[in-house]
Amino acid sequence: MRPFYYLTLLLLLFKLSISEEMEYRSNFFANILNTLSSVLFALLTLQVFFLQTDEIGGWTFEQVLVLLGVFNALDGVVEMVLRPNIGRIVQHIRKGTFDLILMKPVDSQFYLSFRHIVFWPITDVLLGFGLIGYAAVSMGIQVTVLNVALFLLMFGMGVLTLYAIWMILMTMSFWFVKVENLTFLFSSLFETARFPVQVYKGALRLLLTFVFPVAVLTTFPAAAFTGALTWRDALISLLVTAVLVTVARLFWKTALRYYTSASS
Amino acid sequence: MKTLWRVYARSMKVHWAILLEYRGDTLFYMIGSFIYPLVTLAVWLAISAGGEVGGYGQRDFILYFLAVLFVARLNGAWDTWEIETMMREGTLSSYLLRPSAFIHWRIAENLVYKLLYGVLMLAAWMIAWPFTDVVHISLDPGFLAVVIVAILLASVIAYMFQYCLAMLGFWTTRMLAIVNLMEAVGLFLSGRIAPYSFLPDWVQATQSFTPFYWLLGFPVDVITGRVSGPAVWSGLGLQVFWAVLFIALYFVLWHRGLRKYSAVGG
Amino acid sequence: MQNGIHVEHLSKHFKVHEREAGMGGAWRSLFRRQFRTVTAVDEISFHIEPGEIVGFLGPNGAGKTTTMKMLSGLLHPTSGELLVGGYKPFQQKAAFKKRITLVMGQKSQLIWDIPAMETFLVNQAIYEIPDAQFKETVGELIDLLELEPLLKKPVRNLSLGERMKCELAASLLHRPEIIFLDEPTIGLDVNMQETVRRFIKAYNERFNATVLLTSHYMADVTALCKRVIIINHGKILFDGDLAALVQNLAPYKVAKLTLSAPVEREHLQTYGEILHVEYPEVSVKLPRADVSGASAKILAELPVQDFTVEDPPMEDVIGLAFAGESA
Repeated sequence: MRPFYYLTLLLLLFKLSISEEMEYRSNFFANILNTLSSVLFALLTLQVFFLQTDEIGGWTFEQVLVLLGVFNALDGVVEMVLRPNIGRIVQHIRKGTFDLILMKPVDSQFYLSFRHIVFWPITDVLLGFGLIGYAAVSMGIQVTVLNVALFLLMFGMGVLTLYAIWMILMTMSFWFVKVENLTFLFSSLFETARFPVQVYKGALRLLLTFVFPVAVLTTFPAAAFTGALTWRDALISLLVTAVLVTVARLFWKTALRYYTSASS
Repeated sequence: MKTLWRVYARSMKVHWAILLEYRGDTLFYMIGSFIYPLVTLAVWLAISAGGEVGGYGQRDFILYFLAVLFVARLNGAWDTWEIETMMREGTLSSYLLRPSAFIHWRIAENLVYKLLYGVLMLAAWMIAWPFTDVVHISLDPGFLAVVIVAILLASVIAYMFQYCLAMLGFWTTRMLAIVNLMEAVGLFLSGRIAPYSFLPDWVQATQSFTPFYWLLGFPVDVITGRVSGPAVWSGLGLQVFWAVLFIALYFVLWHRGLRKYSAVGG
Repeated sequence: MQNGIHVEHLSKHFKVHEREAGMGGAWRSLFRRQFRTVTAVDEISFHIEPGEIVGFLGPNGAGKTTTMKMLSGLLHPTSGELLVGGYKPFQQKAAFKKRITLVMGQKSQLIWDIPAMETFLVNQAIYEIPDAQFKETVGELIDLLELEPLLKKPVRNLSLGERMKCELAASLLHRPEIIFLDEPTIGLDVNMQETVRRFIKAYNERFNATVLLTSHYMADVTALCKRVIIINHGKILFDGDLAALVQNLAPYKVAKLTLSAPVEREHLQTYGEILHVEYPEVSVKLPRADVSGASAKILAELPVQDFTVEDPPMEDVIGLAFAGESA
């Protein structure tokens, strides 16, 4: 791996995507409208829950607000980077242009993951962080360097985990051609990340911590910010992320071997 | 009338064949659509772990959200997305050439899927019956008849509402943005988040003035026995009102839209 | 250092999953999959020296594409030895990829919504081409392909031929020493085909690049390739000089005459096999060994207005090659 090479390339692809996206400027306003309405209704939903109670699974209203901010920011990442690319593998395989990508002296996973970046959903990320900031002020959290660093670390793990899950889904499109179903499945499962994992009981909680780790996606970053993160949880976050990223990479390599029929 | 009957029989046969071809996807979608109500249920179970809230205990919440699952599957409609694609890709025109109205073809598809969902979920409900009494509801024939009528009216409202939104595609290319906004409002107002009595007072005040409660919350409340007596009859009356309103609106939008569509030669 | 292409006993087998018809068959095949092995490429061997342009010919399904894909590292060979530019292609080393390129007539790497120059810049970054070299190469390619007026337009606004020119430029920015061209002129008009051919020739001479070309247009092959390899049913039928191919497979030439007066068909037949009669045009096969004698006889004995002798068309010769193989 050569970090500098891939960083330069990423910047270039980002610049490229912006000039491509400029063809579709009107999407910007549609996106802002979408973002605002979805956050508004998420807040109303929270209000309905907290009319009946002071805490959900041990989380106060402000703490869940932080979690909602994290969820929104991650959703923005999905819309910016992940969703624009996932459908393309199938198109490339169908049109035969996948061969042209494999012929390039660049990591094909990297290229296919980041070739298309949509800029507009940055509003979701910004609004997410805005929510976190608002919740911090109304809770009166004193923001320390350690606090922020831990949050950023956990948030980074969340982004990586999200990427790994998405990459695994994307790799499945070698065999299951209907990607719409895969993204639908993801979106449905992602809904479980709107609430702290403590809401779920028993086996379901284990499943949502280790298998489809919504705990790593939203619960742990939010807990890191509010100071409720235990060392055990932080460790789980790092481990789950490491395992998923590795699995995603190996799965991709396997799919490529299948494609070049080197595995048979 | 006889011709229309034949149109439905034939169209449903075609749609059934398509459904069989994509049976995996169909089940996939059915299961996927269960996740959101189940997540919401999990939250309510966490909230009510310490005891009853707002007149609902844990068992009440479970029954409520099972009923939501059940009714939501039977009033689902996806025509806006289908019709948007058809308008964008220009395939709508070929359907317009057929002698029977396009909507019959679409309704036939909707019915085929709902028949499948209905049978599957009814079977699941019956299998669960001996194992847990959470799913027990009154088996009084009069009550069951009211439940069936409420669900039927709800699905007519939901379907015609969706179809009227789809008709907006004749005038704007951003029809789906409006649909998405409606979905978000509907999620909140129809009772998917919580029983209607849990919503803020200002929301409850709008109950009669928007169609959302009548296309989901009302039949669910009838099933769980939260609405009973004369309130049932006035509720059914309001359902009929909304159904008739959207059917009338459909006729206006469809004829105006077609004129507009053929004028631009779409 | 250049190494060319070396292929020894190369084979590729595919496992094809066979399914019985109907629901029952689908059900059974869930548990007991039936496989059939198809041999796409069967023990082929050939060597191509640096700087050669070789035509790779054969009907659809003959094994051309499979071989090309193995040579470029997109398919893993079942058995055999394979060295391209000194590398084993299927290891897909970056250093290997930087020395080759693959251009497919119907598949484009260009980014659709923006000018082709943007694709060039992405490729510069991917292939890590130093700025100075990039500028020089782009300059040369612009000259050779007359790209100047095309570079500012979004790719979607270019014609098919203009797109092909940009495609070629994008594929050659890193100055590959080995070039695989798969139907590079397909769908182009005659002028544009000619331009592409001239460019390939010029590039080959300028950089001494090795070129392996497949094409359905014989004009591409006759204009570019001294040597051809013909493959069918996964086996090599012929490997050698194009001229030798014509002599070996077609031991005749074609005389085309324009008559000034009608001649009986039976009488014409005495000079050779008649290919075509439509008064006043006639074409007759003449034995290669005695072309001059037969020609003199025709000119002396028949009322001839115009007379030419040509090699038979390439398509016919290749057709003979396949027919001979199956007989």
